[in-house]
Amino acid sequence: MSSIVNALRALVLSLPSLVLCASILSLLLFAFRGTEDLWSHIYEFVLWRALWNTLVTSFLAIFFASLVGVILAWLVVFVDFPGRRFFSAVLALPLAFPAYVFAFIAIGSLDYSSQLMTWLRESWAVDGHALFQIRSRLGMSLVLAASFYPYVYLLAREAFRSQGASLFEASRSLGCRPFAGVWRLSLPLARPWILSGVALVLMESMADFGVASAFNIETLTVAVYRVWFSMFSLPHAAQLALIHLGIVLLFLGLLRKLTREHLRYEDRGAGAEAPWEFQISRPWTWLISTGVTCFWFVVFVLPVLQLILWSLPSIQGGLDARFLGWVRNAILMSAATAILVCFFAFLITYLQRIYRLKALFSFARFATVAYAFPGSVLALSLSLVLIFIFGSTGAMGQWVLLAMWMALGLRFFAVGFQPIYQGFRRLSMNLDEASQSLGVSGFRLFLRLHFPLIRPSVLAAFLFVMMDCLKEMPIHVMMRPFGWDTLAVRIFEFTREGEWERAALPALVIVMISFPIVLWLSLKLSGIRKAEDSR
Amino acid sequence: MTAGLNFEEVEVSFGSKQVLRQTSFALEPSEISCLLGPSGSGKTTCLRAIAGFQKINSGRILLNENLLSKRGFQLRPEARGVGFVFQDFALFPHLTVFENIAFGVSHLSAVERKSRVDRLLEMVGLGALSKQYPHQISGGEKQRVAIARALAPDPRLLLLDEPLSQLDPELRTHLASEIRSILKSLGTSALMVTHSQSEAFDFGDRIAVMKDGQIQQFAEAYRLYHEPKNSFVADFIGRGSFIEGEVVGPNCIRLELGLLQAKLPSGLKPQDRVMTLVRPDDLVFDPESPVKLRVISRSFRGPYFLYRLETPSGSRVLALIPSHDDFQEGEEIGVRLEMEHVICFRDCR
Repeated sequence: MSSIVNALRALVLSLPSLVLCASILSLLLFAFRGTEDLWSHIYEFVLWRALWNTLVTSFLAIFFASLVGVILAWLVVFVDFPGRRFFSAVLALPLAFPAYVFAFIAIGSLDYSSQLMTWLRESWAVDGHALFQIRSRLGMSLVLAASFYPYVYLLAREAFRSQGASLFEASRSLGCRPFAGVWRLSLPLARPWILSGVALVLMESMADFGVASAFNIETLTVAVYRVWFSMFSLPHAAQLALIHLGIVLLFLGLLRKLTREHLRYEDRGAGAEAPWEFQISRPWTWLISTGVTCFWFVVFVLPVLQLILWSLPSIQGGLDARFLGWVRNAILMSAATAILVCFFAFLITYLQRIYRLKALFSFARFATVAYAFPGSVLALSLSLVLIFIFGSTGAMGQWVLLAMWMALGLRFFAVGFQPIYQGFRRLSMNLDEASQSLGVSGFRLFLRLHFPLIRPSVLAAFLFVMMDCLKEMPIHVMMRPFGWDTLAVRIFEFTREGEWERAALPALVIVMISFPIVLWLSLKLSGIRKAEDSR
Repeated sequence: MTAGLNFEEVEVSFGSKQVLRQTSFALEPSEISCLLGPSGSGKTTCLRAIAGFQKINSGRILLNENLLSKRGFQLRPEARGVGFVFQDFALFPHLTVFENIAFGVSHLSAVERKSRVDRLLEMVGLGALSKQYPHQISGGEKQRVAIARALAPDPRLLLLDEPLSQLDPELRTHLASEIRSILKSLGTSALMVTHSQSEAFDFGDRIAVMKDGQIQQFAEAYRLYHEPKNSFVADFIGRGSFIEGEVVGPNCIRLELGLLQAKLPSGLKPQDRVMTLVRPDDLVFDPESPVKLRVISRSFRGPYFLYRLETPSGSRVLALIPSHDDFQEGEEIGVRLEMEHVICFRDCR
């Protein structure tokens, strides 16, 4: 009897990882079914250009995002400029924007036919378009950087905050000038965190589909989509997807090696005290304040205003039932995915805590790797799994919705798993033993001890997954059943046709839902650190 | 080169709270001293003011006659030539032991730097650990690295902020004497902040007792113990209890525990009420004595028992009595006063 229970438990726990394995396997199997003639065409006209575009835009985006993220984080932690506390929280807000929303706002307001450029041409005879073309690899990487720099910013901010004043005082008593301390202490100490932020930017930039398709720049994600939906060649799409996946994993592996080497000094020394503050003269602090304000306006306030402005006609025209349907579909799918992720993440970490399942846990945790998979790759591979099962796409029916649900769940499994796993890790095992010694065990132990303590982590996991699902585009676009549109799908369609005004309202809805979640994340991160310091 | 320090009428306040009030003291060249006091007495603020991490509101701080701080002027910490050892060691976690020690001597050539660091490593006995990172070594080893790092730039004065408080009790005494002998061999002046008397006794040539931002007494341990200047120092240094008494004649006090013949502080006249400090070793077990005290509690200290005793009037005193006899709680035992240094102050209550 118990062996059946054990087997069942193992099966349930490893379900997410098994699905991931199946999808990788199907990708591999399909990739070898390709015919030579088309492959030479793809090799010649698609692969190299897509690869080049992906690498150039991703690395430029990483460069800009790290530069901006680290500088802003350093300023809000170490310099007392007017508005510092406010900016410390709100500089993370661009994370509420899906990158593709930034993209169409940027095109709509900076392209040749935009109001700004027209006004410059007609009133000032300045051809802004000749100076800077937004529809370029540089433009695309700036848009990617504007939406992903908060990853670097948030992690660097927490790293800088944990650098207690005594380290800097020690360096000064050893003859080191304050600004030399930035190079000799602050940055090297924060490097593991900054690199983790860079890894997130790398994954997001390489996985981007929406920005590239809005800019009409053929990256690997766009190439997979085109080969799949225009050339109808699944094997070649699978080959491209595999190449894409290989490149993402290669660079992540390199970054991870760099991060690992520096994680050896995880012992951060001083932590509890307030961070060091740099004494900077008054005019400089005002200058910094002005600079940060301008930056924040460009990456957050102006885009929001533009979205609202564009949405007004649609709102005044009355919201039609179709629009409400997109909102409903998007929220339903995101919430269902968040529940799925939280369920498995909770089950896996909880059973691991109780039964100490070492090998099984490692395998179950393997599913978090899917976070590094571009959405387009997951969408394709899970569709291929369905095709294996049903023979053709026609016979799948509503099963596609199930596959889409699983693809989203896998893609963001790590997003939900981390908070829950860390939440459990923060609970000392002595707590369990203490309550058992007081006669509370089994399910009552869960109800009275674990559940109340872990609830905030589960809530965080739910909200983060929900937000990421709402913002995700390629899985929505490539997997939805015909006629079952979500907000992201509509934004994709409208953007493709250059109808920024009609894309604005769905985008605004996504931003409005993500906005409080990001703000909460930005404030909560500091809260977690405080709680850990006081321990 | 070592230097004398002058701390002259320094005042520091945090908001409305005054932390240092006209605090003054001076260190001789090559002197090793301690600042001892309860928490919140301003010890660490003194140290931070000397290091240049804390601005002062008035007064002056001079090192070897050179001005470090006064109102409106602070020499930058990196220009003071003052080493600092932090309570939490503040080792740079991303640098090895060797690199930590070399941090302050980056202006030297590679060869000089290596020989300087190697010499310090050998001096603190950590030659084998030079490639380790701070999280890979023990607390005591971290402490030695912190000392070596602070000494590397050849500071004129070394400041130590409760450097032993994070270590095991056994390690503390050992390290305090070890650090002392290293500093003595280099001839470096040093000032250590501590709230532990035994550490201060082990470490300092002289000890400054602080309370409420003021130096109460700055003297050798022996004098602090036997000739305290005021009742705070008397109470704070060593153990003991104050017993009420009355001056009954020139150089004579009557206590509940008997008559005391001793030289009294000037200004006391017959019938004055005084508080007399009775240390645990001032009471001697004497079965013949008419003074009988009741045992309240006791703790075994090897060769001695430390008894807490109660007088008939309800005052309590401590007595250190050889452990040949074993008295139980509630028993009455005879004791006799045997004082060499009588410490008494006018009773101001």
